[in-house]
Parts: sequence; C-alpha cells; structure tokens
Amino acid sequence: MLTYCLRRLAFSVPVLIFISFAIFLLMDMAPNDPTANLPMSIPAETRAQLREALGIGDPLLTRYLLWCKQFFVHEPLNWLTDLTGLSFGDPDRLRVLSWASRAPVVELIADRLPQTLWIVGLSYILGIAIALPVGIYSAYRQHGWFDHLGSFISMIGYSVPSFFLGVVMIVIFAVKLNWFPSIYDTTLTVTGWESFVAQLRQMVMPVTILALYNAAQISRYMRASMLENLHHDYVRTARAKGASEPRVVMTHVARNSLLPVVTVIALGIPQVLAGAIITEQIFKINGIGELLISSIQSGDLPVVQTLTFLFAVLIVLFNLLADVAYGLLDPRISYD
Amino acid sequence: MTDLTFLSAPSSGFWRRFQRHKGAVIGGSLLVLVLLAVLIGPFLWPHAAGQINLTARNLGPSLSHPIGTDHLGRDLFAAILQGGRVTLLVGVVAMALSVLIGAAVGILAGMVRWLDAPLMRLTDLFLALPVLPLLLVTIMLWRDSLRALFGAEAGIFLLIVAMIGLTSWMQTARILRAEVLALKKREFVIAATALGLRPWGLIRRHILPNVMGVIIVSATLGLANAIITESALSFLGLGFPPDHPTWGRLLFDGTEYLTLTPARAIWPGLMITLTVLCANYLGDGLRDALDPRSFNGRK
Repeated sequence: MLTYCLRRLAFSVPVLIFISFAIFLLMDMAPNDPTANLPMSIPAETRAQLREALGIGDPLLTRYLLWCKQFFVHEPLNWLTDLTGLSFGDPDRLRVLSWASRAPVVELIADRLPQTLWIVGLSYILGIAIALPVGIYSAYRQHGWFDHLGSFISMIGYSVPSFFLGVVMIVIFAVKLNWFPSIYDTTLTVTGWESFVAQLRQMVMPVTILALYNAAQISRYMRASMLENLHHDYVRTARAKGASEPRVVMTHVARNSLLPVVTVIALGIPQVLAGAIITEQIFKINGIGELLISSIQSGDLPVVQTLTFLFAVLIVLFNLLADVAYGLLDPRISYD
Repeated sequence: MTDLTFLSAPSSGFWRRFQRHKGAVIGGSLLVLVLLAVLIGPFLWPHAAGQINLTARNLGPSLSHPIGTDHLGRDLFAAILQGGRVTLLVGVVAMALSVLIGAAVGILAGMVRWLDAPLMRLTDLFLALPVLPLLLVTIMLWRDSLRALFGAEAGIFLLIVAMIGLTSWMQTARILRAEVLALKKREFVIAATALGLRPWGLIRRHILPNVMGVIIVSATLGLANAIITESALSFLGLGFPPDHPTWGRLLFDGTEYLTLTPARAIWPGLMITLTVLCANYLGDGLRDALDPRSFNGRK
C-alpha cells in the first residue's frame, strides 16, 4: 500500500509540472502586454526598463523556472514564516504579486478562500446527506414512485445549469417573496443571534443550488452502485440467515455500495470548487471564483495563473486521495 | 462486454427498447422540435432579432411579442430564435470535434498496442486540467487576436468551439478504448485478422460499426455538455459578444433587469435547460436501448 501511494505520488509530480508548464505557456504565448495599462505619458525607455524588470525579455525556460521558484519555494517559505514566526532564509525574497492590487497573490487568495470554502463545504455536506438516503431508497424500491421522482429530480438537478437555477431562485425568493437577499454581504460578521440569522439567510440560496447539483450527481452513482450490489449472492445469504431487512440493506448492501461512491465524492470536490465560480458570480460572493473572474477581466495574470494552477493541484490531489481511499476502504483491492 | 449486434440487423430490438424509454422519446422529439424552430423560425417570425423599437420598451407578453421586449424594444422571441441558432451550432460543432478527437484517441489506443500507454497518460493529463478556469483564461487571452484574424463572431466561435472540443473528449476516448479492447477479443475480429484484413480495413469494417452506438451516446451527452459550457462562458461575460447573443448571453443580459422584466432571464434559461434535459434523456435512452444488459432492468 505504501509503495503504491509513493508511486502514485511520484506520478503526480510530472503531471503537475506538465500542467504548470502548460498554464505558463498559455499565458506566455498570449498577445498580452503587462505594461499596456500604464499611463501613456511614461517614456518608451522607462517602459522598456519596466518590461525588463518584469523579466519579459528573458528566455522562456528561465522565466518558467523563476516562476516555479517563486511559486514552489518562496511562497511556501513565506507561509511557514507567517505560521511559525521563525524566519527561513532571505526575508526579501520575490513574491508572486498581483499586477492590479500589488498585494501578494497568496494573501489575496487567503482572503477570499474562507467564503468559498464555507459555501462549497456546506453545500457538499448537504448534498451528500441528501444523496445517500435518496440513492439507497430509490435503488431498494426500484421502479417505485420514489425512484421515478428521484430520478426525475436528479435529472433536473443534473441538467438545469446553476446559473439559470440561481436566477430563478432570485426571481422567486428575492424579488417576489423577499425572503432571502439576492446579494451576498461578505462584510457581515457574526456577532450575535441577529447577524447569525442574516448570515444563514444569505447562505440559503447559494448553498441550495450547489447542494442540489451535488445531490443529483451523487445520488445517481449511489443508486447505480446499490442496484449492482442488491442482486449479489451475499445479499441472498444475509436474508436467508434471517437478518432483518434494514440490516440487510444498511449494513450489507449500503456499506458495500458506498465504496465507489466515496471515490466519486472525492473526485467531485475540485469540480464543485470550480463550479462555485458561477454561483459566486450570481450572488456576488467575493470568494476565489469571483477573484478569478475579476482578475481575468482586469488582465491580472499572476493571480489568474496562480488560481488556475491551484485548481489543477486540487484535482491531482483529490484524484490521489480517491485512489488511496479506495485501496484503504476496499480490502479486496491490493495494489502491491 | 456489451453486445452491439443491432447494427447488423437494424430492425431488431433497438427501436422497441428505445420506444419503451418514454423520457428518451419525448426528449428526442422535443430536441428535433427545438432544432426545427431555431432553423426555420427566424424566417417565419415577423420581427427581426436586433430590431430596435423604442416605443415598445420592456413590454410584457402580448400577441405580437409572446414573451415581451427588452429595454430597447427588441422582440425577445426573435432574439431567442436567433440566439438558439448560435447556441446549437456551437453545441453541435464542439460536440463533433470532441467526439472526433475522443474516437480517434480511443480507437488508436485500443488498436495500436504501443500507443496505448502514452495516449492513456495523455487522457489522464487532460482529465487533470481545471477545465472551467482554463477555458476562461484562454478566452480572455486569445479573444482579441482571434477576433482580429477572423472577425468578431467567427473568431469567438472558433475559439469557444475549439476549447470546448479540446477539453471534453476524454470520457469518449476512455469508453471507446475499453470497447475496442473488448471487441478485439471477439471471434469475428480474430477471424477477420486471420483472413488477412489490414488494420485500417478492420477498423472500418468491424470496429467502427460496432462502436457506433457508444459514439452516438457520447455525442448526445456531449451536446448537452457543450451547450452548458458555452452558456456558462457567456453567462460569465466571456462568451459571445452582446450583438450576437446566444441563450447564455441573453440570460446574462437579462439578470440586470430581474426586478423589471424577469422574463428576459427566464426564457433563455428555460431554453437552455429544455435542450440540455432533452439531450440528456435522449442519451440515457439510447444507452439503455443499445445496452442489452439494461433490457431486463429499465422501464
């Protein structure tokens, strides 16, 4: 198992290097001049110096390696320094700075991450909590009315784009009924009961939308996995030895069916984070998705580069976790 | 291993099984209806899509404007018909590109042994790409230069279609590789090889007809995916320009007027949802009809 994990880990290194290089190349080849937004009054000489200072004339590989050094060496070291208070190496090392706000990109992201994590995390947990029972019951009563209803709703949750569902919810619950605010107030801090209720109210719509989407996807997998397991011999054996129906379904079938679903759940996390880009845009939540969009619109390449790469890291990481979790949970699988 | 003998005998159970899947039949018919409406509609409808009429601003639904007008008095129904053309064209072309790449990679990986490992690693790599951020970044960076090269509409069209196609072929490739590997072990393929059929002939005569069902299913699901992706891009303001609005763009423009004319956002959204839902149901039904294992299970 350990060798397998190490091998998988070793394989993800070239993947990450490749993706980081692809992202770097994509941004680099694009017709884009970071000094284009500076005032016209800057003389051409100064402009050339500025470009040189940004390292634009250097060979491609040099720039890529420098970026890697900033990203993989400097930033983690800075983070360690902030965390422990100890200083490692040269304190004035180059940081990945945002072109728009001149702040270190890592700080910008750290600023935005909690909002995204709250919404995404809550919706994912809620989605799983809905999906598992629905999947189990609709497989158990296959072709029953609950199964048909569940399949229909999950098909809808699967097909209705979140940006449309968000708009519909805003029209109904914010404009017509005035139950929930349509714009997420991120300056709100929870100090007492009243602000807590306000926080809950503004979270209801974004969390519901993402949760419905997650529930739709996961319940489909759970149902399919249950259906596959329900007709195995061990189920008949369990019934034959007189185990009660809930015990057969819950302890025997559901437990075994959960195995592939756990993988799906782990694999889904990066996708949900990326999907939050749209939800954040609908409700104007200032999470990382909103940061990505606003940086894209202002041409702030360092932020865009870092965020895109961060999403790639998340995908690779959760792929790895899903594989390892599958091996740990299912004793039948041995990787060695 | 799936058994796809229906193609050699088209009149066999495929249609019967497909017709039993009511969602798929309804979905398929509605999809054809939407296609026809979008293709023929703009010729029949009296209002042109971009026609400004300042005396008829922000109207509610009426006989001459069944779903109202926008803040410049443009007829929304005409805009939806016209926008649907672009949306569906993007969906179909992107899906075709994605299926083409996926089929090529999948069949090559399945047929040529020494290409299998590198191609599958490539597929894994593409699966690890953060698709939505990458799409947004590419469009942001390349939009202007492509626009200068090919013109405003064609440039963005090529960019979006190429990007969606390039980032969505992986599932098709994986499924097809598995199908081809399974087919290669079947007696008729072994017999054909023994009779001296060249690899290219083998692919054309035996492999392709037998994996056609899988390709059609991934094409249907790919259409839904491409439409959603394009709409999401347009919704984020990085898709088509406002003078060539797709459904996603109309929805995006409509969100500014939610309190005044919610219909502007609701109708384009409904059209996207309807099309995607139909394509998904059709794909599900086709998969069930093509896969004899699901014959006993499903309705």
